[in-house]
Amino acid sequence: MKTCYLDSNVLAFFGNENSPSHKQATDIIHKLIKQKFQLFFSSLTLDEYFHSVIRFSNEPRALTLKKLKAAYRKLLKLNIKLINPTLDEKKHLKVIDLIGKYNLHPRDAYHLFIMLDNKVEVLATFDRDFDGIFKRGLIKNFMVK
Amino acid sequence: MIQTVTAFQLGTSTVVTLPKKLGIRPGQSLKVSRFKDKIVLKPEKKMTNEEISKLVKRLSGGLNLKKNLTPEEINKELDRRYEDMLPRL
Repeated sequence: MKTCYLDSNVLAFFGNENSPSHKQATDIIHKLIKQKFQLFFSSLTLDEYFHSVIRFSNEPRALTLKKLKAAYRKLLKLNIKLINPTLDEKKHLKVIDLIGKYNLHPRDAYHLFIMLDNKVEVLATFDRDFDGIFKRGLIKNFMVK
Repeated sequence: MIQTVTAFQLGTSTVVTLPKKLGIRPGQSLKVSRFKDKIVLKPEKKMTNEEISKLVKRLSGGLNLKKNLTPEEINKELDRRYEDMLPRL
């Protein structure tokens, strides 16, 4: 089965019709479903997604939280599975190696670690910080042309 | 049509053979669900392009965020939040 990890920016733009990137985000999800990818996110992705929505909302906090809950419930209907890193503490040393080897922010290194640890092959993201990782072929970038 | 079949062990899996007349082909995907004492096998339906579009449209949107929000802006905000978490020395 083909597997794809969704970055928080894809989730945020998927939910935000006001964004110029909304069409691209919906195209990504469309193509992933069509190609029968199993979609994944992690607690780290959700933390970023929830924070971005709350931080950049045009509406009062209470309404934003209500809409965020509704948007998250809709996302779950895409059959996205939650994955997280291993509970083996020693293996988390690898995050530090990833930070050093690929010059990543700790947060991005953790995303990569979660993908590698769960054998996810493809990442859907708008984040250019992963370009170096894609070039090295460690994981593939899911592109919509 | 009611027929009794017997499950058997294959490696770590339990295998049930289905009568050929059910029309299930080898390699075909089936959704398995359980309702009380019934186990239901449902052939997975391939969605058309139009059905996927409808599904994606129905499940997207709903949020009202800053209009011209860019991926770089989201990244910058997440970085700022991490910076704010660092202890002030």
